[in-house]
Amino acid sequence: MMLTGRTKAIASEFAPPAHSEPDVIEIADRERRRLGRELHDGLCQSLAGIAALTAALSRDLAANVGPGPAASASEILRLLNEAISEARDLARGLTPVAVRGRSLVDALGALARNVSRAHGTHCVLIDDGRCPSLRGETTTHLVRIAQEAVRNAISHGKADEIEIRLDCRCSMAVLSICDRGVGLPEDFRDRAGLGLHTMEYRADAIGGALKVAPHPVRGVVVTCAFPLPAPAGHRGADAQMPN
Amino acid sequence: MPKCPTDATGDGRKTLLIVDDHPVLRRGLTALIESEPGLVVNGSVGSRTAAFAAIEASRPDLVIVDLMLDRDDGLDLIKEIKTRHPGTRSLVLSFYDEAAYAERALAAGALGYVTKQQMETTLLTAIRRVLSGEIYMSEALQRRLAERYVSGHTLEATSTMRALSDRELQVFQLVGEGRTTRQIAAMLGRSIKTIESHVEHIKNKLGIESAAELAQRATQWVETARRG
Ligand SMILES: Nc1ncnc2c1ncn2[C@@H]1O[C@H](COP(=O)(O)OP(=O)(O)OP(=O)(O)O)[C@@H](O)[C@H]1O
Ligand SMILES: [Mg+2]
Repeated sequence: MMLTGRTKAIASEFAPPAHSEPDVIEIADRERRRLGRELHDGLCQSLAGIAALTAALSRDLAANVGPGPAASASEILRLLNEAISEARDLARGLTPVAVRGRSLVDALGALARNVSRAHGTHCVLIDDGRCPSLRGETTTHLVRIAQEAVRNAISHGKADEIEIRLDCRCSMAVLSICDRGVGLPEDFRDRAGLGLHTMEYRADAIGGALKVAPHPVRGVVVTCAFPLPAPAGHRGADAQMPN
Repeated sequence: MPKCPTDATGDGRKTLLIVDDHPVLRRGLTALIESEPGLVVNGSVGSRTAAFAAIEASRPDLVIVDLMLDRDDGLDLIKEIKTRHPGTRSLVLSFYDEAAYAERALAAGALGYVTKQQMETTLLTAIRRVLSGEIYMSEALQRRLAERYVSGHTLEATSTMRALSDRELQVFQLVGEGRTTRQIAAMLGRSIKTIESHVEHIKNKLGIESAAELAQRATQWVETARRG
């Protein structure tokens, strides 16, 4: 498959040869956890410190100056507290959704809910209810693909609507993440960070293929087509790739 | 018998020491506490060593401890204060969820647990309570403890974690934050072998089979603990 060759080529360029593919994925996950930690234990602490200072100021103003200035300080305090909640939500959103023991549909649903809650973006899961149970490893790869696509849709696409779809045929399934954001820049391949590479690795690892393309109307669609395990008694009758 | 808090300022005011590794937080906390008449912050430090130097020098009535210090463990610090300075009270102020850490903090010897999100509204009350010799905990925590006392068990996710020792939980938390074994060893001043042995125990106690599963579970735990 063409994509596979390409993924490998890109891989050797950004990963030192000593790293095997799972290592690279592991590094990306670790990096995400590190960011979450820094947000939580760094930025949030600063904001909380400033909030405490503001609370002290507000008390001081109330006692020595008057209700007007004290109310302004309280207003700042309220806004700071909102900012703290946002930063904390963000720190959680950056923490990978727990996948273990969950079905793909379950974990994707949790992802959609987390995103909606933490980012104020409408993120929904549309699933055809036909997804068979998958291996844990496959589920993890798919959820991480969706997670990175969503992250990109929010941070680069500024999308306010994201749809995660799961369509299962007999022997193939397609996971797609479609956003209504600003769309891909011409040179997005040249800008690729860890995100696109890792999504490609993951798709490759489960025997699937990944496509990142502009949405026909607006935004971006990321599709991952992957094979489903053959159900007992059935032999892959319609194995054609969707699209 | 623990001594009553001494009157270190000589004018009836109570003295406090803040132990938190974040300077902006320390600054804000000092201002907030001192906006309350009768309370004086006579030290604010970021590490265990500095904390003991300050306690010995100024004998504060109350020490406010952050659980996640950069290099040291807050629970260890509380235990050590309790043994070395039984008359000095301690109160935890943490960004981590009460359900995840409060019971351990109380078991270690803290007399209260306040989360940083509720700081402006509850911290001063908690300080007053603890200074007057009572224990401070939120209503939610009181309810949870009472329920467990009555039913003998709890159904919460955090309950399986009770099998872990404080040290194991600390290692588990660090794994969930994305630290490598090597980093954890350096942070805790232990050998890599020791950390690996903690990790083995954690895996056994939680029925975890692989390193990947460990990372997953630990991440999930951190996520829950941050829910606060
Ligand atoms: N949904 C999207 N909408 C708009 N632009 C996108 C979208 N997804 C990707 N891009 C573009 O593609 C580039 C590459 O994405 P990729 O995820 O590889 O890197 P990154 O997000 O910049 O870095 P990283 O994922 O490592 O943090 C992005 O910098 C961005 O310009
Ligand atoms: Mg990205």
